[in-house]
Amino acid sequence: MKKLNALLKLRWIILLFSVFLGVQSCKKNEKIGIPDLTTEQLKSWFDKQSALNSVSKNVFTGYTPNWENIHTTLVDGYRVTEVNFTNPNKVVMLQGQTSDTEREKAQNNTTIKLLLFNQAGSSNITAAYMMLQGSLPQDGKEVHYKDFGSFTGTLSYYNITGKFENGYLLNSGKITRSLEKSVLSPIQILELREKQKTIGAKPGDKLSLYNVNDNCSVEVYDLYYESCTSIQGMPELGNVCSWVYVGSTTIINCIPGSGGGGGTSPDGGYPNIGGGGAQPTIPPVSVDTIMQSKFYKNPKAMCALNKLMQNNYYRAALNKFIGENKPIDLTFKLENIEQQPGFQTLGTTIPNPVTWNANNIDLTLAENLIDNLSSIEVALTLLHEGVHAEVFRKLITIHGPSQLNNANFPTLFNLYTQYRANAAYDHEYIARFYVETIASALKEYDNNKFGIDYYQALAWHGLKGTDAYQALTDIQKSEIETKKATLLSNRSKTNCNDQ
Amino acid sequence: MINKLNILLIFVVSSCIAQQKQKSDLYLYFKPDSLTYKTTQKENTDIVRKGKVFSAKYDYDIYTWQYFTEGNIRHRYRLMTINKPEFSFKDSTFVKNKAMTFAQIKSNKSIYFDSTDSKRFPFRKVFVVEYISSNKYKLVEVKTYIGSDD
Repeated sequence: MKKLNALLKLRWIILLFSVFLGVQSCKKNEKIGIPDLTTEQLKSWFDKQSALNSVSKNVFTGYTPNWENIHTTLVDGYRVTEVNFTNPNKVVMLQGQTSDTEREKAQNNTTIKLLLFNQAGSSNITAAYMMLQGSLPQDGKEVHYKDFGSFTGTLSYYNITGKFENGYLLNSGKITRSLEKSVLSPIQILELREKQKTIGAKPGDKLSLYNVNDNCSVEVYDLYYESCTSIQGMPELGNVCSWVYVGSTTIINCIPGSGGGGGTSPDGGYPNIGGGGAQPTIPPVSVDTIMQSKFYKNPKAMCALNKLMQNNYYRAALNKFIGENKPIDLTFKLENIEQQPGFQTLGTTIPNPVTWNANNIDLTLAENLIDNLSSIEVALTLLHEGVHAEVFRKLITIHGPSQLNNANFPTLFNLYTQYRANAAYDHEYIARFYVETIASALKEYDNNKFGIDYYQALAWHGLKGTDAYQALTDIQKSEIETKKATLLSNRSKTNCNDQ
Repeated sequence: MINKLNILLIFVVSSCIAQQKQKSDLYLYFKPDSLTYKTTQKENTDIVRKGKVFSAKYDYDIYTWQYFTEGNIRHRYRLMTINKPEFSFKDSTFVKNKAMTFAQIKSNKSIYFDSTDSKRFPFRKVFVVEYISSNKYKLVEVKTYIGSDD
């Protein structure tokens, strides 16, 4: 009997302890729980945001959220509120469908939802539009954020201002391609024009890049919305609808993991929400890139190169050299570079062997200067010399500047004939077309500490002898010097500690 | 008789035209000073590239002539040796008769084209005549330096 009582007491103790633990656990959850933003609060926030946009700027403004029909889930630490629309299929993303019938068909297969992300411990809200465009009519209501069911078609995300952010092609709920936004830089357009001068010249022309080596293509999608009006006094006509072209967006379409166009982590998410969205795949520099051991052992050179590899432009530029099937290699080196009084030569680039039939280009950083440079100056040198390498790569493919003409590289051809080889026509090329690109890569490298004009000032380094620089006014030149000095002041010279 | 004269005349004229078309060689005088200097690029190590040992050995001299324009803008005319071990020595008579200074050719814009560009570069070959001593000059064939200016 005593044993039975003791057993009962023990059971009570265990039960009470479990209840205590449960209460503590609930309290803990309550403490770090997701702020309980009400639907009204979300609606109020969204209405304020919508008021800032017009249909001409944001095609999704015409949608009417149905706040009675919401779906809430917890994904990656975010409360995701999906709001359906009362008119869910007004905007359609097209690629090649030009007839009204085709557009109508695409429209019928398209569903739009509003997504509101609210992170635990914060009242901040991020909004996105999720567009589902099925290859066949499908019930979009069954598709949720990162829970695609058996959906087959295109899933694309647009930010609150209506701009494309990223997307995926899905087959039975599985990601087969990732879509990233792409803004063609002046250089890319220049390269396209050098490849094919007849495209991209007329309004409505479409530019398309396709890189066979990284399983990525660059495609242009057009956005249309259907605008319907009724004509007063003519009810028999009903609504008269027409398609309104909103604009085009350039998208990098990749096989997930191919690494091209920035590569993606294909989890079906929206950028910067939890682990979702596109994350750059950084090629392993030490494995794929050729470098002299001195370069590899220098921590500043390596960390600058590694960080630059996160930049889309630099990665794309290096991808032209890296890989078994690339005929011309790029070798990173660290060597003593003889300096002249009053001038600082941070790096050099030269084909090696030194002929226009070379199969390699050496990019050398000045070993005798690198200790006294901040890492952003090393990054600048890698970028500047990287453009030289790209120019040399082009010239090697045609066996030297004597073979330049208007059909192969017209811009280089014109600069070569105007400025000659021994008068730095390649610097004129960099000054005219790459200052913006270098500046933007440096800004990204420096975690956007300064405005872009400061990085542009730095990007002019080594280009003062060019006509493009000389064409600047004295005030502009003076500002360049001041901003460059500000940008470089008080920076650590140890490794990449200036980051 | 007239026919023979005509043939001779045609031969002389065509010979003259042919001579005019044939490019001459440039012998460029080099003596280091504050604006003119010589550097050497040398690499002795091999590089392992894609699992294979790549011979990165090279050894060449770069001859540089600098000049400055308004605003202290530096310009450099740079030539590099093609085959450094191959050279000969010349005396002062050769220099007086054949060599030119950079100042003499500086204004000829065609010399700034790549020397492998036979369509535009005005000389057949370029040699540097490097001052060694008062009656000793090193003669070495060069070409346009094809690396970046910095």
